Amino acid sequence: MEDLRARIRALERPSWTGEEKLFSLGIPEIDRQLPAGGFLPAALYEVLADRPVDAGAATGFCITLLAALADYRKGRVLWCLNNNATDAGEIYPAGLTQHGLDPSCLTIVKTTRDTDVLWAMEEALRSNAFIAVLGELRAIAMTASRRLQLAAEENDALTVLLRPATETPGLSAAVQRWRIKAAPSHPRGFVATLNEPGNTCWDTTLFRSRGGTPGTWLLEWCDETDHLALAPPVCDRPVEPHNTGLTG
Amino acid sequence: MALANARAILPSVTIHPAAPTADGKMLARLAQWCGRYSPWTSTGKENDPELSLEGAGGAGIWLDVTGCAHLFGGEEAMLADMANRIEKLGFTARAAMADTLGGAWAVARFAPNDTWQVIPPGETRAALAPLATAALRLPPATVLALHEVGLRYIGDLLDMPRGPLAARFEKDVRLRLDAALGKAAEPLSPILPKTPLIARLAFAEPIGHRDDIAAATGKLLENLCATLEQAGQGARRLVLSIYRPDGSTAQITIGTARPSREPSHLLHLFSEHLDEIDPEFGIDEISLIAAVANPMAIDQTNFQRGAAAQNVDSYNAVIDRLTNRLGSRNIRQTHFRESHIPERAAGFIPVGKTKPIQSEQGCAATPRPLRLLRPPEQVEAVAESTDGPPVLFRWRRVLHHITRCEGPERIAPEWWRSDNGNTRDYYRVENETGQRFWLYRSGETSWFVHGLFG
Repeated sequence: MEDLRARIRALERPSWTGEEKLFSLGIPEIDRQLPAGGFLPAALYEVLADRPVDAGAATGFCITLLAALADYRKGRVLWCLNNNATDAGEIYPAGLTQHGLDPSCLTIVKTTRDTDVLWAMEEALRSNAFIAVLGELRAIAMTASRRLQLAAEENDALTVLLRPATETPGLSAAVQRWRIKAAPSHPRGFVATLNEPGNTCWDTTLFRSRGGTPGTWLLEWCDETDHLALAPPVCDRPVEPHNTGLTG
Repeated sequence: MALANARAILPSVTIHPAAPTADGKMLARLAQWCGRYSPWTSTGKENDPELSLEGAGGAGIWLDVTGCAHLFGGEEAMLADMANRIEKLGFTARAAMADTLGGAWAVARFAPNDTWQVIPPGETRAALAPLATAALRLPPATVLALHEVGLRYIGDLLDMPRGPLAARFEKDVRLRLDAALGKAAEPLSPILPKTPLIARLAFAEPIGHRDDIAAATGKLLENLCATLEQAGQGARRLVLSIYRPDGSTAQITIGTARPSREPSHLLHLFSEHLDEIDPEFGIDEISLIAAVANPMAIDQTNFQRGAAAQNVDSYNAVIDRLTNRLGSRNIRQTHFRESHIPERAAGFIPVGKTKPIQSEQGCAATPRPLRLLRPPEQVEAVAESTDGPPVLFRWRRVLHHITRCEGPERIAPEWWRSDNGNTRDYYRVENETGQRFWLYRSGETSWFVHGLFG
């Protein structure tokens, strides 16, 4: 049985040898469900917003992913964006520190076309100057995503695609595809009259995981400890969605 | 003589302020012009840094004409020609030719007779003897000290024992005397002409294929980079000009973030633009000019050159490539300013403009959104009271009911800026589905969405 699993693993891309240093969001429940036992640092990830208003949540998830990588690997991050792809404003450096990313390592490339974003991302990956490259674009073709995935593997850099909400996400060669939705937070403190927003909550769906199983998790960003955690079940929130257990 | 005295004697005297810098430049140009007689010319500044343009001897031009005189019909003819031409240029000049630099310097300035004079080989000693001791290029203090002990002429010094002379008057006197007599070496460092940072290639047959143009560009870059390396420079901006047989031209300009003389990297930058060249009926000449070049030290590679340095190199290289395709305005880095107005406090500026400033604003105590709308978008909102928190708002035709709200955080406009607006009351709000917005009220009833939280 183990032999069979290894053979299937060898057929499937990405081929991980078990020697790569994996990184983690700090949530064992997610890591357990990933085929390599953690996030591969040299692979293509795709993050989609569930609805246009969820652009902030999707951005936050990307930043958390980059910050988790930057925790164990120092280096620069390139953020390529197509100005026309999103109408949710531009990234704001002062907000990055709150999600654990040092804004000074960030370089921004602004373009007005998806093709320029893809060109800049590939150029950056091939240069080996960045530990992570993020592209904010509207749509990506299968071939283009395949090129990015190969470039990410060859040059050992995390590659993230941040896409706005779309009904049809299309095909993609990404190792993982996430759909991010904001979730109501539960109030901080003990006084019910304090009606302040609590810790940021995201309803995250891993709807495509190469070699692994999809899943849904309700995550919470703890401001006090600066890390991500599974949101604790609270009586006043809707029943926590269970992992669907589908095979990918 | 004081200026006032001069004016008293001759009221119509014309006065020009001294301009040592301009004089020095003129002298350097004249020294370059003297290159027609000998390639080995100098203003003497390197040999005598303490000698100024003013004062006893003043500045002059030195030429090493060894092996050059016969081209002008002998030493006398050469010197006569030199004096004549310099006079025609509008200068009053005295010239002398001797075995040694010191000898020529002394005779040119202190010999009583002609405007030009050639001291035949071996007669320097005799020619120097009747001249004043100041002719040895000595500082005024030393000359005065020599005068005090009655040594007025070089002849008085010639036969004196060197030991006591050096002990009494430091070693200046001995050194200068020996140099003037040819017993000590006094090298002359010539002015080196500036190398033009240009490479050109002409073709017997016009070329038109893209690969040919790329190959020619590569060759030009190799030549130019060799020139740059010799000059210790690195190119910041390169202009590639092509010349077509009909006389028309086309140009490509590329820039680099920092000085570079790496042919392969520069060729990569050019290759993006080579398609823009329309060869029409062919190209018969290509030239490459380093329009802007900055000093660049020779980079020594060693085994300890770590991954960090390599990373910086590859970062600069990729920034250059991105910049040349997408424009320098579109490649940005984070930048913080000392301000409380959110859109001013943090943003992005083109890479390489200034060093990113790290300020306390980068880690503000109060939460800041992840995405900022520039400019803020006006929304219809309903508040509890005129200065209370919002209850619901309509943004982009979607109605959001606010379930949780934090605020206000009051940010006052900066009075020292002219474009200040109203005081803003910021609220961090969450709607019933969990999306978080940064709303602010400006004035009484105007509400704006300024950002989205993660």
